[in-house]
Amino acid sequence: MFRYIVRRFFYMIPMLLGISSLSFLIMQLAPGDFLTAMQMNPDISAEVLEAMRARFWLDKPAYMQYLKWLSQLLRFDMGHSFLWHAPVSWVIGQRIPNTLLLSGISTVIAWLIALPIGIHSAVKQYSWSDRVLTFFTFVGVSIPNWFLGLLLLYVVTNMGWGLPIGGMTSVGFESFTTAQKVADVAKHMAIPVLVLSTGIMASLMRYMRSNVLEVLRQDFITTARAKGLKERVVIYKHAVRNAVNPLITLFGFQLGSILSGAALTEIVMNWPGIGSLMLTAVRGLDYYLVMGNLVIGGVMLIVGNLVADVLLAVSDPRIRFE
Amino acid sequence: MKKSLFAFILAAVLIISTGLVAAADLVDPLIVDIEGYGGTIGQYGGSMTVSGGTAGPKTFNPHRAAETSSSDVLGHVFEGLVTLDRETGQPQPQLARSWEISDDETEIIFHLRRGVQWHDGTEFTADDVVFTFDVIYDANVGSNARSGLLIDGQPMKVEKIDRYTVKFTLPRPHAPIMYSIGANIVPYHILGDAFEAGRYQEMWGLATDPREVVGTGAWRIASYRVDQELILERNPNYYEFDSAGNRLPYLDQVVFRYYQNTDTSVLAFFSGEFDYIEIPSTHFPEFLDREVSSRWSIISAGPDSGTRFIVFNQNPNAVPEPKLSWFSDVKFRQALAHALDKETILDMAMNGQGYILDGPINMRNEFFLKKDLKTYPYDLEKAAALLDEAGYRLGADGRRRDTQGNIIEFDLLTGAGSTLSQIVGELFQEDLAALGITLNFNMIDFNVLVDKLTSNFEWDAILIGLTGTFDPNGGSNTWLSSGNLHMWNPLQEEPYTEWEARIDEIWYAAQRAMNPEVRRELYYEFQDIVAEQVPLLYTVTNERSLAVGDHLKNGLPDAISGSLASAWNFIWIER
Repeated sequence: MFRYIVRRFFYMIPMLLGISSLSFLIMQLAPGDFLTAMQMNPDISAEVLEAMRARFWLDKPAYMQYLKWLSQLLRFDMGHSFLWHAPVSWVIGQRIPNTLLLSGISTVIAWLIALPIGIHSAVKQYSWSDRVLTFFTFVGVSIPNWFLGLLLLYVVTNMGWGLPIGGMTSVGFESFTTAQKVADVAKHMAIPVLVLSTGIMASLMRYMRSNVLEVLRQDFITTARAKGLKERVVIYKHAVRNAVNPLITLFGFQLGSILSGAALTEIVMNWPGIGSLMLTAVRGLDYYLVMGNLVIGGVMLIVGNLVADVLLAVSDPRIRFE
Repeated sequence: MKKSLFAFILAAVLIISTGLVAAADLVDPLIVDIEGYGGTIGQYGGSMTVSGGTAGPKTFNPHRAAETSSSDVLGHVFEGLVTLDRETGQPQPQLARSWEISDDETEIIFHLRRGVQWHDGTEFTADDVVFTFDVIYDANVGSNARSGLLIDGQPMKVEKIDRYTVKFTLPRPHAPIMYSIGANIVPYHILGDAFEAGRYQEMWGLATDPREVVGTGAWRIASYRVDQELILERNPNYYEFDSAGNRLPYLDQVVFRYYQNTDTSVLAFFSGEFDYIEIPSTHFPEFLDREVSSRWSIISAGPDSGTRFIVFNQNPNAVPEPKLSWFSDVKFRQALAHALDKETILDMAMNGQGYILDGPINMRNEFFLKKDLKTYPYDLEKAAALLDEAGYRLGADGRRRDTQGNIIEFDLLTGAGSTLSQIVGELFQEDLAALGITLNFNMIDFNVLVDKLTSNFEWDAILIGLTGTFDPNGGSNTWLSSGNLHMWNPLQEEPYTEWEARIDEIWYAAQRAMNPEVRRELYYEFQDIVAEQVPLLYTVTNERSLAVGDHLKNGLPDAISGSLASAWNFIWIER
């Protein structure tokens, strides 16, 4: 298994090269560059712009910019952000904890709720509770996150529930005690977490329901029941154990998108995370910040898949690495 | 007896020494005439929360800041030798107590304010001034202040005469210099070593502890959570006082809050988070509806200094015939100017909250603004008559042709995303259609637009805006025929037309004219030429309106930009 993991890490190299070169190319195809908008500023002379263009290597052909960036990356330096006058790793590092907090809690909540109700829906198929839950999951799957976010914001402002409209902290956060700080962030997280977790929850619950339903139809379940096992044991020991495999793959994907999956919600709710940073970077053509984001996203996706494969092997004895 | 004598001497020493401390402390206070500005003497204390816009500073280094999100904050932390008076826009003492200009107008001697402390307690001296100008003139630093401080591409010589005196030597007399010389002074004792080691650019990035960022201003940065919240706290040793002898500023702190989305910041204002906000013009009706039942009032702060105009391409190397002949025909441009319905634009795009623009001078600069300019009121009949007269006749098919029989049709481009531009473009399209001229109006990516304007030059007409500067000389890039923003025919080696040559002459003469009256006459002539030649069809500019909480006192917008930021030092909160 160790050799397998090492091999998978080596597979990462060509994939990252592909991802990064392709995204760099696409970004270069966008009209203008970081300095274009500044050309319309009467306060910035053409000479200063030329000097900046040379310093940022924007006057060099795209492949040279890419190779320079790549050689820096090999030394674990993701380059400088034009917009922030700071190392990309620092800029991204500022935002990662915020996004992890939001996505992490939303994902955990979503899984904790979706799995039991998925199982429940499957076991009690076509009961009234199944129908109600199914209705809500359909609603959850069909409403886009950003729309639900705006809708909730509107409700919150007009209902006067005292919930903040976006952001992560209140005025005066610096002077709060630790307990107040935790409570303040929690208050700000309420809506974004609700939005994100309903999105994840809805599809997860549908998966779980259909997987359990499929397993329940299989012969070994009939056998188990015929042996006189308790229904609880049949469901949780035999049915769920087998139904969970496809969800592990899904879990890997979610792990991969834990940094990027919340982007739209972050932007609507003004959450200072990676997603809203990425939007600013792309719009400002801040090449290396975008590249840094993409590389981290790529690594997360590959690692997520790897984790899923390993977990799958642990959970399903039929799978072998060699 | 002995005891009481000793007590007496002790008391005398104490009184004298405290007096000395106070004197050393206040060698050179700056008294702010708050009542003269229409304000009142305030009370201390309190915190004010303002909307910082969609993003926060990207650096704490004032000579690395290229974006307003950074300079809006740093402008309160750092100061220049002079500042522009909030009412007249004329240079006023700040870090310099006074200055003298030599008879030949090439030397300026600044006498520095004594006893001014950097936020870390070190005294501000001539070394800091000399150092700052070294930094600005270093092309590798790329300071935004640099181009305004070069005279014919030459730097000024900056010399320290003594601890409190600095001499600037100019390559030639240059009247606008006093408007740009107030660049932010940075501390030599902190940044000097880094600059000499070529590492100035790396200093004071966002990773720096904000408490290490040391200026002389009324405010210092207490904390910054990137793009969320920035707190400025009062500089307790500031040298400005009100007329009653109270040290300014009155407020304890100012908090900037950032919302990525303007609609959200408006919601935040309504929910009471901000003490004041600049009203986005699209939200104006909503504010008007709510004002009656609210604890804030709407204040009008005059025209925005930005401009928006339509420009026709007259570049002989880029525009093919017959378009070049049309666009370089002044009669054609004048006729089309009559077809631009500015009143309707104002009503449709700004709910009437704006001003009609007729010329190139910033409307806020009353001194230089010429009132009796030739204007082109909206009048389609007159436009048609002028076109007929110039040989652009309407055919039987309802289309207008030039003397060679070419159908008149061209493209108008603008940057996508602006509602105002969309309204201007669509209205102009309709009105030209009524004249028998086909205008193809397209909104394109802003970067593509800039690329066309500044490097490939292939376009017919463009609708675009520029940010305004207070002093007319700030328009050099646009009005000098060699300028890169001389959009209709940029980067000319020799002036292409007579009127452009005359504007060049006027421009250089105005730069040398230290007498404001003389300068004004020159800029008056410039405005007349532009009004006659209409290289740019000016449209409208919006009115700046503020919603200010009723508890906020001395919330007085300044005359230069209509912003409240220059009043922060004497804003106070009523309890």
